[in-house]
Amino acid sequence: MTLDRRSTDQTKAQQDALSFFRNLWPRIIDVWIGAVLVAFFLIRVLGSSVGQHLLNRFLPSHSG
Amino acid sequence: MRVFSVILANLCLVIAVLGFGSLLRPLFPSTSLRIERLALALLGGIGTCGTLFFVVGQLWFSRPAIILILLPGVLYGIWVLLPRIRSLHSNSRLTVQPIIPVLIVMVVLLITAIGGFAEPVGDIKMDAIAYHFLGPKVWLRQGLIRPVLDESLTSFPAIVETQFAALMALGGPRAPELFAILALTAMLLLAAGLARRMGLDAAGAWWVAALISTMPALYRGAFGGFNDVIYSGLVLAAARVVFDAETPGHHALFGLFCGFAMGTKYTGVLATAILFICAFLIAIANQRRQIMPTVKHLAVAGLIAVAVASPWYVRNWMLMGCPMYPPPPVLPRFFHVRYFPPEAVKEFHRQMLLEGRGMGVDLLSLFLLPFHLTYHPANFMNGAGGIGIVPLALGPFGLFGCQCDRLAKGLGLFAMVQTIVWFVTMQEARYLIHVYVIAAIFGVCGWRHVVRVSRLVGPVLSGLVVATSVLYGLFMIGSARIDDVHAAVSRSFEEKRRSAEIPYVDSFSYLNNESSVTKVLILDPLVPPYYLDKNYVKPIGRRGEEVIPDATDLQQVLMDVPRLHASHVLDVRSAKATFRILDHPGNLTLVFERTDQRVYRVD
Repeated sequence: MTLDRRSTDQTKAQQDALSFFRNLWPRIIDVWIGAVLVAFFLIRVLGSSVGQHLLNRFLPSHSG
Repeated sequence: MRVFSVILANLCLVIAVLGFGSLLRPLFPSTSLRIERLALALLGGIGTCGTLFFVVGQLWFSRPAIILILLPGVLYGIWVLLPRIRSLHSNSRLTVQPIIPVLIVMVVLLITAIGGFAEPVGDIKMDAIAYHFLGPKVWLRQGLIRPVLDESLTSFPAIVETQFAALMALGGPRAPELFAILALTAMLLLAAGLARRMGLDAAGAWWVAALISTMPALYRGAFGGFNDVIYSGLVLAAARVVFDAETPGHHALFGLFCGFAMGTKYTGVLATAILFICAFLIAIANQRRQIMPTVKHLAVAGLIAVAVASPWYVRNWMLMGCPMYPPPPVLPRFFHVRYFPPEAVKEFHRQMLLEGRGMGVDLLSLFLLPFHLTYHPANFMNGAGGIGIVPLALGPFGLFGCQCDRLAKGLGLFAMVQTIVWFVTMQEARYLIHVYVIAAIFGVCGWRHVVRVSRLVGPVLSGLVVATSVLYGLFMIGSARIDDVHAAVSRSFEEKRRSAEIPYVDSFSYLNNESSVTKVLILDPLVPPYYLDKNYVKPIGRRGEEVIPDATDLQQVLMDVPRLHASHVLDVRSAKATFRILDHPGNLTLVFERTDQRVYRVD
């Protein structure tokens, strides 16, 4: 009886973990894609010479 | 008229290539789709045609020889194509294609087509000018395919370059530039076929084509004399055939494609070895198949590959002293290399190591490679513009979105091993094009998975990823080809570009137009002889090649001018060296002088 209950508990825990992971997986995908995209804009677009030129043009320094 | 001859020459070559490739049809896997059969026919035809040109060219390489080789291919190509064109015409059923990726592919092909009419220009640092186009030009002039001794890289395997020579012979010096259309088309067809085979629908295959055509690092390997897209196409064709191979015929076809890959680039030797290992491992992993028949088939395929590639390597061994020339590290210990002094070979290896370091060769750099290739592609030789962000952002999810069978596993394994070998040997961005194609297919498969799993944010983000990749790639490709397109449509700009980008253009113009010039002695190693239409001798090559004995002794060379049968001497002042001839020797008369350039007549 106790063994059966323990086994049922284990199965339920496994199902919960699986269901948790199933719910988490889309969020992991979103975060990964978002991070790759943001990094691309920061490094390849804003970090490029054209990006730097535009930034310098539209965000003039206030020194002096 | 000049455009007409360029188009006609390329059209002849395409039909001949299709004709020769169609001879291989009985070996094509019966499961292959029509698009795959077309791609395999194109690539197989390119390999067959290039190998034929090379073998015949050892004895005879002139316009009549080229026409005689092409003629049967053209006739058979027409015979194969006509019924298909008729059936296309009679088939009124129109299939709806996804408009956006189709437009993207068309834009890239249009840029390539217009840019393909521009005249090749540039200095000796451009590979096309240094050797891809120089070899064919000299072979045609001499009527034989032989390595140009002052440019060691003309002894590379040259399945593509022999076709440049055919195009030059039929359509003039501009014709090889349009070959990029054939290279890109073959690659796009093959990639789309692979995508379909891996479970993507027609729209998915079109998106794969759109992503691949807008990868600047891949596109770089298609134009300007580069042969990397054809090479990668041949490697991918071999992979496509072997991972699905069932019969001895399929394995024979695999061997043929491996042989063609080795006949296109030395890196084909490594790719072939990797493909054989992966094919063997996949066969072991596949429980249903017996190992011994597969081993036998692979052994036969190996023999075919070696036989097909052997003409290039045997020729080099006989004429240059080493099967691979210039020799890679280790080989100079076993072979006596001719025309290349040991110090020059060492410098060549040092240069290779320097250029092939990428962003490091340690373990951390290997793990960071996907990020480096995505965010810092310009740090790899010829990698500027990169491969977009689809492979990194969506590729990892591709395994969940594709039909994960033997082919997908085989391609994944091959891509992984090939990347590691590339990382260890030579990190030149162009040498990994076949892996970019596999990554793009997995990327689109991953896109499908993301749309299925993440119902709200995922589709928007992945759409943004694809749009960013495509737009950024289009911008980079457009920037790279803007001058070619401009030169193709504006004669005045073309003239301006000629004057600005061809070094010592006035001297070349004088030497090419002066009837008394029969052979020119070029003293500076960095003068690009591609622009010279006359015979020449260059005692020292740009990598230190020594064409004649005592090549480094200028006085001796000048005394030997009559023995070299030179009628004129070209002497220049460059950023690295001043004029070689300071006191006018008695046997030379200055006949032409411009800034930094002098031409002497030999009396």
